[in-house]
Amino acid sequence: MEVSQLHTQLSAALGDKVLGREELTDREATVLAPSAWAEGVKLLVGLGFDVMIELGGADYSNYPEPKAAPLCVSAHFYSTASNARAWIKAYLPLEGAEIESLVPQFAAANWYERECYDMFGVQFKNHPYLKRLLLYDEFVGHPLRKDYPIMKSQPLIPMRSAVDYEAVAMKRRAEEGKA
Amino acid sequence: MSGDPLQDVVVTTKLDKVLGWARKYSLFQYPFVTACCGMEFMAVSGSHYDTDRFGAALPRFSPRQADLLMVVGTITHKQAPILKRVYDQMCDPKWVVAFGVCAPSGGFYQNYGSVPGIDCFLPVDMYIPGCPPRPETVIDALIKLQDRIQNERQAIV
Amino acid sequence: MPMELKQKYPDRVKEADDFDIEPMYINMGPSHPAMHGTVKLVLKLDGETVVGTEMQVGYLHRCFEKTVENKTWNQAIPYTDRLNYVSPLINNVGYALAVEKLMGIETPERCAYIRVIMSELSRIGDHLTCVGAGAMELGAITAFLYFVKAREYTWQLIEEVTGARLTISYTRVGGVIRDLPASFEERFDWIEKQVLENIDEVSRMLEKNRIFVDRMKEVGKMPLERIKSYGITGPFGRAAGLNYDVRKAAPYLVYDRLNFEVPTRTAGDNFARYEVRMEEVRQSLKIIRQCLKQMPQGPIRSKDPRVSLPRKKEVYSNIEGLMNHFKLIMPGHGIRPPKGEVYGAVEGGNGELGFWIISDGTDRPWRVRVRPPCFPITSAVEELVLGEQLADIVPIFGSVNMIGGEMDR
Repeated sequence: MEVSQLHTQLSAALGDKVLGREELTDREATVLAPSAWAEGVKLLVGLGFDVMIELGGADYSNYPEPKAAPLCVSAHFYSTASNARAWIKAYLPLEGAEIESLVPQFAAANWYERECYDMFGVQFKNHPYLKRLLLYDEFVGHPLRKDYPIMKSQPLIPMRSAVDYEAVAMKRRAEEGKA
Repeated sequence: MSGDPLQDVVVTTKLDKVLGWARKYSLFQYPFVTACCGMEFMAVSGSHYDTDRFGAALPRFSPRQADLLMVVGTITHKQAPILKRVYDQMCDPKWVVAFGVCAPSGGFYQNYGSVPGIDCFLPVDMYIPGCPPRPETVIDALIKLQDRIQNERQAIV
Repeated sequence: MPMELKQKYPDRVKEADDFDIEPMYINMGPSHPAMHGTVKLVLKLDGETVVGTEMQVGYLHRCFEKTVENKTWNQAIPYTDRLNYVSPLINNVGYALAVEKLMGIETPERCAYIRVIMSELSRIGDHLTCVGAGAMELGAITAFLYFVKAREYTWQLIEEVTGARLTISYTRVGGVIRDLPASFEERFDWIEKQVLENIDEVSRMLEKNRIFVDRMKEVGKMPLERIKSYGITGPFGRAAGLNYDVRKAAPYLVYDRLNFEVPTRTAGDNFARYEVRMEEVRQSLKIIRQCLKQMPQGPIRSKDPRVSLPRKKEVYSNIEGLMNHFKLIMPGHGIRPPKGEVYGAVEGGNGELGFWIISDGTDRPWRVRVRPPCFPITSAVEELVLGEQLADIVPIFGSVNMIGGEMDR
C-alpha cells in the first residue's frame, strides 16, 4: 500500500489526533499525538503491519528547525504481506514525558521502550518492567539527552585517576637536573 | 671416566629460578572477554598462531583455578565491580594482562560508560597495545611476560 | 514424586510432597565462557528446568550514539566497525550508505561492487564464528578450530584489501579508501576452495553426529507469530519461516543484479538456524564470484566535491581545488549533509541493521541511532529458555549469535 494512503487512513480513523505528516529525506512519517499512540499502532496492525522493526528516541532540544516538543519517540513497522514500511512519531516534553507502552501488541516493544527510558527518560505507561536496560540502576540521569555531558561518569567502585605520565617524567627530570 | 660423573645429570640453580620456570610454562589463563579483542584472542588461540606452544593455551573458567587474568576488551563501569571481584577471587601468584587499547587506557572510548583503563582499579603486569593487537604482538607479550615471571622473586604461598 | 511411584505407594504421597522445595536462583555470566561476551542471565531453576529468567545486558555499553554526536561524519566510521565486530564491513557499508542517502550522493559502480564483495566476505566470517563457537560449546572443539582456520583465510584476504584484519574502517562517505589489489581474484579462488572444503568437512562431522543433532533439533523452537511479534529478522527469523532479507526486500548497492537464494526453513529450532547459516556461507561465496565477473573498472570514490577530496594537482594549482580541500578538512566545515533524517538498512549478519540518522546541517551528526539486529533476538531469549533444561541454554544462546558491541552499542 502507498504511504500516503496510510496517512489518509490514519487521519480518517483518528481525526485530529494525527498532528501532521513529516516529509523526511527518503520517506514520510505520520506524527501522532501522544494520547493516540497505542490506538494508532492498533490501526496499523489492522492494516497488515505485523513486524515492529524499531522504536527509538531523539532529543531535538536546540535543533535548528523548531519541532513541536523536544523529545521524539519514533516507531517503525513493516508489513510482510505487502513489503511496506510505516513510520510514526510522537513529540513529548522534557519534563513529564509519558506515552503508552506498546508491549501488549508487540513483544519487541519491551526492550526498545526500556532503552528509550534509560537513555531519554520517557515514561511508558503500563510497561510490565520499566527498569534501566543498558546502564546500571545506580546511574542518575538520562545520557542521550542533550544536556548530559558526555564525560560525566558515575563509577561504581573507587577508581584512581589516570596518571599523567608525561607530567611525572618531566617533574622527575627537573628534580634530577637540580640534584 | 674423568670429570664429575654428575655433570650432565644434575643442574644447580636457585629455587626462585626453578619456580619461575615452572610457573611461566604453565600459565592458566582466565579470558575475561568482553568485546572485539575477543575475536583476535580466539584467533591467537587457534591453530594459525598457537598459544599452546607456549604452555598458555588452556583457559580455566574459574578464577580459583587460573593464574593469568587476561582482560580482553572494553570494561565499562557496569562491568568493573565484576572484574574486581574476579581478580580478588584469584589466588596468588597471579598476573594481569591488559589486552587491546580499551583495557589499558580506554582506547578511543572517552565517555560516561567506559573505564579509562583497568589500571584505575587493578594492578597490571603487561599491556598489549593494538586495536585489536595483531596475534604476533600477543605472542611477543606472552614471551615477555614469561621472561618477567622467570626473573621475579617467587613467593612460595 | 513421579506418577508411577505415586500410584504404587499412595500412602506415602503426602509425606513426600510435604518437602518445602524452593527454586534455586543462579547467575549465568557476566563473565561466562558460553555467554559470548558479557550478558547476565539470571535463572530460576527447579531442579534442571528453567522456570524463570531475566536477561540483563548493558555490560558493554560503550556509548556509541553519544560519542558519534561529537565526531565528524567520517570520524564516526571507526566507531561503526566496533558495533558488530565479527562482520565490521557490513556496519561500515550500512553507515556510509545511510549518510550518502541523506546527501543524495551516488557512488560509482565499481565501488558498489567492492562494497558488496567485502560485505559478503565479512558475512562469511560472521557465520563461521557463530557456528564454530556454538559447536565448541557443545564439545566439538575441532569444529571451532577448523572454522577459525577458515576465518583466518578470509581475514588474510581482508587484510590484503583494507590493511587490517578486524577493525578496518574501509568505507568513507562517498566511496571506499582503496581498490582491490591485482591478486584478489586469484587469492579468492584459493580461499573459496579452502572455505568450501572446510565447511563440507565440518558439516559432515556435525550433521552425522548423534549428539550434535539431538542437542540442536527440537531445542529452542520459536513459532513464527512470536518471531514477528519480536521483530526478529535475519537467519534467526528465516529459520522459522519469516522470508525477509533486506537484500531482496529493499535491494541496495547491486544486489538486484545478482542471482542468489535466501535459505529459509520452517522448523525454527537450533538445527534449522545452523543449516540456514551454513547455506548462507555458500550463497555468499556465489555472490562474490558473480561480482568479480560483473565488476567494471573505474573510480572507487564519488567525485562529488561535497565529500571527496580533490586531487593534489588541483589543490596546488587552482583556487577551486584549494577551497574545496579547505572546506573539507578544516574543523567546522567538512562534510555537511543538509538538514534532514534518513533511515538506511542493510542486511547484517544477524538481520536488519538499520541506521536512523538525523542531521542538523553541521559537520557533526545530530543523532545516529543504530537498530541492532540482535537486540530483539536477545530479548526473546527470556522466552526461548523458559521450560528448557539448564544444559539446553548453551546451544540456544550459541545460535542466537549475540554480539555485545552491537546490542549494547
